[in-house]
Amino acid sequence: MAGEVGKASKPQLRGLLKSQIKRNIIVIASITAVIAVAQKVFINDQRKKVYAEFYKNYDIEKAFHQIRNKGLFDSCEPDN
Amino acid sequence: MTYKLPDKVIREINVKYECFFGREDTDGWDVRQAMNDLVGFDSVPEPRIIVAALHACRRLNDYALSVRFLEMVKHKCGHEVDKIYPYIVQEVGSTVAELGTDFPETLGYDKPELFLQSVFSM
Repeated sequence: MAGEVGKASKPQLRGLLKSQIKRNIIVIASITAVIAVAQKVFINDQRKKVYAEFYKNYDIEKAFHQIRNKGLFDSCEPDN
Repeated sequence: MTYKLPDKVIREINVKYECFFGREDTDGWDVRQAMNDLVGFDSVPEPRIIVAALHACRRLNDYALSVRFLEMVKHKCGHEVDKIYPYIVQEVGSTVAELGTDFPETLGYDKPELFLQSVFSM
Protein backbone atom coordinates (compact mmCIF):
# COMPACT_ATOMS: atom_id res chain seq x y z
CA MET A 1 0.00 0.00 0.00
CA ALA A 2 1.40 3.35 -0.98
CA GLY A 3 1.54 6.12 1.56
CA GLU A 4 0.80 6.17 5.26
CA VAL A 5 -1.78 3.63 6.38
CA GLY A 6 -3.76 5.32 9.13
CA LYS A 7 -4.11 3.44 12.40
CA ALA A 8 -7.33 1.45 12.34
CA SER A 9 -9.81 2.34 15.04
CA LYS A 10 -10.89 -0.33 17.48
CA PRO A 11 -13.69 -2.43 15.99
CA GLN A 12 -16.36 -4.21 17.99
CA LEU A 13 -14.63 -7.18 19.64
CA ARG A 14 -17.38 -8.41 21.97
CA GLY A 15 -20.75 -9.94 21.34
CA LEU A 16 -20.14 -10.91 17.72
CA LEU A 17 -21.81 -14.30 18.02
CA LYS A 18 -24.69 -12.77 19.95
CA SER A 19 -25.42 -10.23 17.22
CA GLN A 20 -25.01 -12.90 14.56
CA ILE A 21 -27.58 -15.09 16.31
CA LYS A 22 -29.97 -12.14 16.68
CA ARG A 23 -29.64 -11.34 13.00
CA ASN A 24 -30.18 -14.98 12.03
CA ILE A 25 -33.31 -15.24 14.15
CA ILE A 26 -34.79 -12.08 12.64
CA VAL A 27 -34.05 -13.18 9.08
CA ILE A 28 -35.40 -16.68 9.64
CA ALA A 29 -38.51 -15.41 11.41
CA SER A 30 -39.31 -13.00 8.59
CA ILE A 31 -38.72 -15.63 5.90
CA THR A 32 -40.95 -18.04 7.82
CA ALA A 33 -43.69 -15.41 8.13
CA VAL A 34 -43.56 -14.71 4.39
CA ILE A 35 -43.75 -18.41 3.58
CA ALA A 36 -46.63 -18.92 6.01
CA VAL A 37 -48.64 -16.05 4.49
CA ALA A 38 -47.92 -17.30 0.97
CA GLN A 39 -49.02 -20.80 1.95
CA LYS A 40 -52.26 -19.48 3.40
CA VAL A 41 -53.12 -17.24 0.44
CA PHE A 42 -51.99 -19.30 -2.52
CA ILE A 43 -52.68 -22.82 -1.30
CA ASN A 44 -55.05 -23.03 1.65
CA ASP A 45 -57.49 -20.28 0.67
CA GLN A 46 -57.34 -21.36 -2.97
CA ARG A 47 -58.32 -24.92 -2.09
CA LYS A 48 -61.16 -23.69 0.08
CA LYS A 49 -62.38 -21.56 -2.78
CA VAL A 50 -62.33 -24.48 -5.20
CA TYR A 51 -64.35 -26.62 -2.82
CA ALA A 52 -66.80 -23.77 -2.12
CA GLU A 53 -67.31 -23.18 -5.84
CA PHE A 54 -67.99 -26.87 -6.40
CA TYR A 55 -70.55 -27.10 -3.65
CA LYS A 56 -72.23 -23.75 -4.33
CA ASN A 57 -74.55 -25.07 -7.00
CA TYR A 58 -74.23 -28.76 -6.26
CA ASP A 59 -77.57 -30.54 -6.28
CA ILE A 60 -77.02 -33.76 -4.44
CA GLU A 61 -80.51 -35.06 -5.30
CA LYS A 62 -79.87 -34.71 -9.00
CA ALA A 63 -76.51 -36.38 -8.66
CA PHE A 64 -78.13 -39.23 -6.72
CA HIS A 65 -80.70 -39.85 -9.44
CA GLN A 66 -78.04 -39.66 -12.15
CA ILE A 67 -76.01 -42.39 -10.44
CA ARG A 68 -79.13 -44.43 -9.63
CA ASN A 69 -80.32 -44.39 -13.24
CA LYS A 70 -76.97 -45.70 -14.42
CA GLY A 71 -77.68 -48.79 -12.35
CA LEU A 72 -74.70 -48.32 -10.04
CA PHE A 73 -76.51 -48.64 -6.70
CA ASP A 74 -77.21 -51.97 -5.07
CA SER A 75 -80.14 -50.82 -2.97
CA CYS A 76 -82.09 -48.64 -5.47
CA GLU A 77 -83.52 -49.59 -8.90
CA PRO A 78 -83.16 -47.31 -11.94
CA ASP A 79 -86.25 -45.58 -13.31
CA ASN A 80 -86.86 -47.63 -16.47
CA MET B 1 -34.62 -7.28 26.73
CA THR B 2 -31.21 -8.83 26.23
CA TYR B 3 -28.83 -8.79 29.16
CA LYS B 4 -25.63 -6.82 28.74
CA LEU B 5 -22.72 -7.43 31.09
CA PRO B 6 -21.81 -4.30 33.05
CA ASP B 7 -18.63 -2.64 31.82
CA LYS B 8 -17.09 -3.06 35.26
CA VAL B 9 -17.45 -6.84 35.10
CA ILE B 10 -15.95 -6.93 31.61
CA ARG B 11 -13.01 -4.85 32.74
CA GLU B 12 -12.49 -7.13 35.74
CA ILE B 13 -12.47 -10.21 33.52
CA ASN B 14 -9.94 -8.61 31.18
CA VAL B 15 -7.71 -7.59 34.09
CA LYS B 16 -7.99 -11.05 35.61
CA TYR B 17 -6.75 -12.76 32.45
CA GLU B 18 -4.09 -10.19 31.78
CA CYS B 19 -2.76 -10.68 35.32
CA PHE B 20 -3.00 -14.44 35.05
CA PHE B 21 -0.80 -14.50 31.97
CA GLY B 22 1.62 -12.22 33.79
CA ARG B 23 2.16 -14.66 36.59
CA GLU B 24 5.62 -16.15 36.88
CA ASP B 25 4.64 -19.50 38.34
CA THR B 26 2.04 -20.82 35.85
CA ASP B 27 3.01 -23.83 33.76
CA GLY B 28 1.95 -24.89 30.28
CA TRP B 29 -1.25 -26.45 31.55
CA ASP B 30 -2.39 -23.30 33.33
CA VAL B 31 -1.64 -21.07 30.36
CA ARG B 32 -3.50 -23.40 28.01
CA GLN B 33 -6.42 -23.50 30.45
CA ALA B 34 -6.62 -19.72 30.44
CA MET B 35 -6.41 -19.62 26.64
CA ASN B 36 -9.21 -22.17 26.47
CA ASP B 37 -11.31 -19.91 28.68
CA LEU B 38 -10.67 -17.07 26.26
CA VAL B 39 -11.86 -19.23 23.38
CA GLY B 40 -15.08 -19.90 25.26
CA PHE B 41 -15.99 -16.21 25.55
CA ASP B 42 -18.11 -14.60 22.86
CA SER B 43 -15.40 -12.06 22.06
CA VAL B 44 -12.10 -11.58 20.34
CA PRO B 45 -9.48 -11.29 23.10
CA GLU B 46 -8.38 -7.74 23.85
CA PRO B 47 -4.97 -6.85 22.41
CA ARG B 48 -3.62 -6.36 25.94
CA ILE B 49 -4.54 -9.91 26.83
CA ILE B 50 -3.03 -11.22 23.60
CA VAL B 51 0.22 -9.46 24.42
CA ALA B 52 0.24 -10.87 27.95
CA ALA B 53 -0.43 -14.36 26.63
CA LEU B 54 2.41 -14.08 24.13
CA HIS B 55 4.75 -13.03 26.93
CA ALA B 56 3.62 -16.06 28.91
CA CYS B 57 4.45 -18.29 25.93
CA ARG B 58 7.84 -16.62 25.72
CA ARG B 59 8.47 -17.32 29.37
CA LEU B 60 7.55 -20.98 28.84
CA ASN B 61 9.69 -21.19 25.68
CA ASP B 62 6.60 -22.41 23.82
CA TYR B 63 6.81 -21.07 20.26
CA ALA B 64 4.15 -23.43 18.91
CA LEU B 65 1.65 -22.30 21.52
CA SER B 66 2.07 -18.65 20.57
CA VAL B 67 1.43 -19.38 16.89
CA ARG B 68 -1.56 -21.52 17.74
CA PHE B 69 -2.89 -18.81 20.03
CA LEU B 70 -2.69 -16.24 17.26
CA GLU B 71 -4.47 -18.67 14.95
CA MET B 72 -7.21 -18.95 17.57
CA VAL B 73 -7.52 -15.16 17.75
CA LYS B 74 -8.02 -14.99 14.00
CA HIS B 75 -10.62 -17.74 14.18
CA LYS B 76 -12.53 -15.89 16.89
CA CYS B 77 -13.07 -12.98 14.51
CA GLY B 78 -15.71 -15.02 12.74
CA HIS B 79 -17.32 -13.32 9.78
CA GLU B 80 -15.72 -9.97 10.52
CA VAL B 81 -12.16 -11.20 9.93
CA ASP B 82 -11.41 -8.50 7.37
CA LYS B 83 -12.38 -5.76 9.80
CA ILE B 84 -11.00 -7.11 13.05
CA TYR B 85 -7.87 -9.07 12.21
CA PRO B 86 -5.93 -6.19 10.62
CA TYR B 87 -6.59 -4.21 13.78
CA ILE B 88 -5.28 -7.08 15.94
CA VAL B 89 -2.19 -7.46 13.75
CA GLN B 90 -1.56 -3.75 14.03
CA GLU B 91 -1.87 -3.77 17.82
CA VAL B 92 0.02 -6.97 18.48
CA GLY B 93 2.49 -6.99 15.60
CA SER B 94 5.21 -5.14 17.44
CA THR B 95 5.07 -7.61 20.34
CA VAL B 96 5.14 -10.53 17.93
CA ALA B 97 8.26 -9.15 16.28
CA GLU B 98 9.88 -8.27 19.60
CA LEU B 99 9.35 -11.74 21.06
CA GLY B 100 10.52 -13.48 17.92
CA THR B 101 7.29 -15.36 17.31
CA ASP B 102 5.28 -15.39 14.10
CA PHE B 103 1.78 -14.98 12.81
CA PRO B 104 0.36 -18.13 11.18
CA GLU B 105 0.18 -16.25 7.86
CA THR B 106 3.95 -15.74 7.86
CA LEU B 107 4.48 -19.46 8.25
CA GLY B 108 1.88 -20.30 5.60
CA TYR B 109 -0.40 -21.94 8.14
CA ASP B 110 -3.48 -20.07 7.02
CA LYS B 111 -3.59 -22.18 3.84
CA PRO B 112 -4.21 -25.92 3.70
CA GLU B 113 -1.02 -27.88 4.14
CA LEU B 114 0.07 -30.58 1.71
CA PHE B 115 -2.53 -29.58 -0.85
CA LEU B 116 -1.89 -32.20 -3.47
CA GLN B 117 -3.60 -31.99 -6.82
CA SER B 118 -5.84 -34.95 -7.45
CA VAL B 119 -4.25 -37.42 -9.87
CA PHE B 120 -7.52 -37.43 -11.82
CA SER B 121 -7.29 -33.71 -12.59
CA MET B 122 -3.66 -33.44 -13.61
